Amino acid sequence: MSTGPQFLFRTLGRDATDGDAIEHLTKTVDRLIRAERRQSLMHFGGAGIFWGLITAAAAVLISRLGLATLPVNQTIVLCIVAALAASLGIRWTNRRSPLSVAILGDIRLGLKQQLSSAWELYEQGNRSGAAGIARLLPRTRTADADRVFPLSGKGGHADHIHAGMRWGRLIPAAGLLLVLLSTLDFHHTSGVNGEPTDVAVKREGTTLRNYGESVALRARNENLTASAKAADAMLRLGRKMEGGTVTREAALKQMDDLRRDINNDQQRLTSTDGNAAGTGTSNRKKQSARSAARDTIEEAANAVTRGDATPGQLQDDTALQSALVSADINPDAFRKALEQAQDGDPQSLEQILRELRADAKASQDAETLERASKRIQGMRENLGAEPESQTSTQPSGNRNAEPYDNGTPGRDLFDQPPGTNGEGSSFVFGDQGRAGNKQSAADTADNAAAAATVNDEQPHIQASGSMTDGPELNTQTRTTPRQRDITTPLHHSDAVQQRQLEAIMSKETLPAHQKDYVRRYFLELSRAVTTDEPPE
Amino acid sequence: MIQQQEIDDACRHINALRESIEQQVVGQHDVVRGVLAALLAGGHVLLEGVPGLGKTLLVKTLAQCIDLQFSRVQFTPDLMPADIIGTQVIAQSDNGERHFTFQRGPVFTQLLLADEINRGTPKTQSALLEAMEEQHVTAGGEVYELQKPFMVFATQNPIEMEGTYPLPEAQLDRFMVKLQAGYPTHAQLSSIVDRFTADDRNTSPAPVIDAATLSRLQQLTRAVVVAEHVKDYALRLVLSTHPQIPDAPTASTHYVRHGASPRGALGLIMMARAFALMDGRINISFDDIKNCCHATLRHRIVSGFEADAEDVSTDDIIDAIIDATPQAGTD
Repeated sequence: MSTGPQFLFRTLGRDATDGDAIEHLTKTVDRLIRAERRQSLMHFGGAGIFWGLITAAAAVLISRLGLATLPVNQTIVLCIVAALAASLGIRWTNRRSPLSVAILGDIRLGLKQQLSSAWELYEQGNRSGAAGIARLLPRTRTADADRVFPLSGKGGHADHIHAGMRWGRLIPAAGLLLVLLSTLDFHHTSGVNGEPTDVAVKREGTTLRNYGESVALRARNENLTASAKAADAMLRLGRKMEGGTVTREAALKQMDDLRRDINNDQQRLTSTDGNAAGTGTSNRKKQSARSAARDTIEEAANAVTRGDATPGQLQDDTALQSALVSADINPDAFRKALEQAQDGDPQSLEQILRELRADAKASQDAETLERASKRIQGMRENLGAEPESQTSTQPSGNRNAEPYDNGTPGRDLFDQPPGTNGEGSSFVFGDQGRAGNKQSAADTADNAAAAATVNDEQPHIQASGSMTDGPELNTQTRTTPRQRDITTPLHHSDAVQQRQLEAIMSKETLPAHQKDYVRRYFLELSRAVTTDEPPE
Repeated sequence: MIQQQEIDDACRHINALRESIEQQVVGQHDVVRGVLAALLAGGHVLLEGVPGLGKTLLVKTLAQCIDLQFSRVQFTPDLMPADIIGTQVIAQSDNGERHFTFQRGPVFTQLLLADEINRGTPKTQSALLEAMEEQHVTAGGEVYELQKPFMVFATQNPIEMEGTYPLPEAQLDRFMVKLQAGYPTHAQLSSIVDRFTADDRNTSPAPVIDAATLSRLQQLTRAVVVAEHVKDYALRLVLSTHPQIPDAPTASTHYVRHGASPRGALGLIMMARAFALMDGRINISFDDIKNCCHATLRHRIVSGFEADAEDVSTDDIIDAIIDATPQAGTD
């Protein structure tokens, strides 16, 4: 194995002192140790990166095949970091002692075991013995040490080329494999966002169940019978999907059936409203208007009943008159009912108020069902169902930017109090694999602003693209609504929106300047409130 | 600790001795080197070779170059132990009283040449056992110490089977090395012819070193540094000759019946030390171990039937063992 001395440098000489000889010995071993550390760090570092890439590729493959659910980007980083740490840990635990380095130096430089024998004596405290051998030890340079532990194949002994050199050639291949696996999508094995189908079904099942629970809670609290029935159906289907017993196709069909039932109930609620003429959206609008006017009308009725006001006085109340018109109640009939109530016959007034309350409840029920229907449609689209036509009354959103869509859960992030029809803009930064987080946030927001109504007729501006670095950016926005459409003051919704905005931004990997941009927008909204002007 | 000056002096003496021997013995450099190493290590030497290769001449020359007492015993089948050790004889004192007195044999010397030792009977061969190992002789119930240094240089002829008695393993084990003398080359043979057929044939050489110097050289040899990993390598080599040990090399398990004894390990280290000293080094190397491996182990390994059947010599087995035994830093 020994190839003989590779250098012909002079020794210290016989006249050197013990101190000089020991210094010569330690310097020689130190040089070798440094060279060995460089080499082993290269080797183990390269091995760590290589195996990290291989492990990441395997994880990506597993994820692609649907054997497990793994967040791809995080998994890749985790695999590489873990493999690197493990490799360096192995290197640390198996690091060579100075003596073993000296032994290798002896063999590879053909020193006839002088270096290792001297070092052994030195470690044993026999300085004079070590010095005696070290005097005959040839001087070594850093280049000689690097030849013992070469960093590359060139210039080193062919039979001593460290295995670490091979990693340099293998790493690009492993990286390429990882890139290929990361970008390839196996047919019929992936759902939206690169997730396996069954995982997507389970995820949407969880979302549906959570949403069903929130609807059930609201229905119980507010005694909404149709919503309770829909909530039960949603819970059942959600649990089935969560259990993994439903294929994507079956899930889509059952969700479609459920949505159809909900729509039918909603239509029934809208059409059975006795005081509302017409059908569909116009009925819903009238219901909403009657519901909104109810408080004003009830307050007026109470005032007359208590004797605080007379029907004649109320005739001049413009707010009341406006409310009566909104509620589609004949002002004369209402005044007559008030007069009868003042005379001790409250039946007509109670009838009017009863109908108003029933309308409000039906409106609330229908509204809940409508939102549930849109929500289910969003979930269907998340599972790959065709989005509804843009020309329909329920526009569908971009799959990757699902929270934007009115019919998808994410829309609830920006749900506003009743009457704040579609004002403002929404910003969604799409990233694969984060749909679940968005859904959770959406549910929370949904519970906070459950009574929101949405104007779906606003024009859309959609921009999407990708940045040179960082996550994919999808931005969708809508134009500022016409001022005449605003029925609720902006300050009512501003605080809620800002809270929701901060919450969602803290969860998103959003570039800092984009966050500032969004914050500035809401700051502008606040300024508009103070100046009582709509934002530009 | 050895001083560099001592190493330099030792090398000078050894070189002088070698040159002096090589003036008489043509060729056989490895044998001469082995003999000198064994001399420094204080071990007994078994020289094997066909007749006429200069084995006896080598030992005689060595004895002449060192100012030591020298005896030669020609082993024959009728040689008796008493002929080597000595015997009790009746002696008459000045006042006429007769008594037994011990007549010392040729073993009472410092360099003993046991020529053609395998021609002696095992009984006679065994007479040397005690002397070789314990450096003393027991006769008539009394122990007689031998002078130091005491070394036996035995020669044997490997091809002469008629009337020879192979040395028993116990006897072989007492030889530190077994050196094999080979045929001279054409040039060496020419030189031999020229030198030994001339009229003015050179007389015996003058002593180069004395007993005290030799003793100091032997002490110096024992002071040569043996690093742990080098010693470990030597011990693994010796242990690898044993077919019974786990992970024994294939050569051992197939061809070896009995491996080397602990004396093999001692001889290996001592010979490596001597080689290192002769090279002017204070420490032994892996190469020193490998260089003396054959000389120290070949007569201690008892090969089996398979080796005889396949004509595998012990040297071949040792080569295989060396190949199969990794050095520290290479595994």
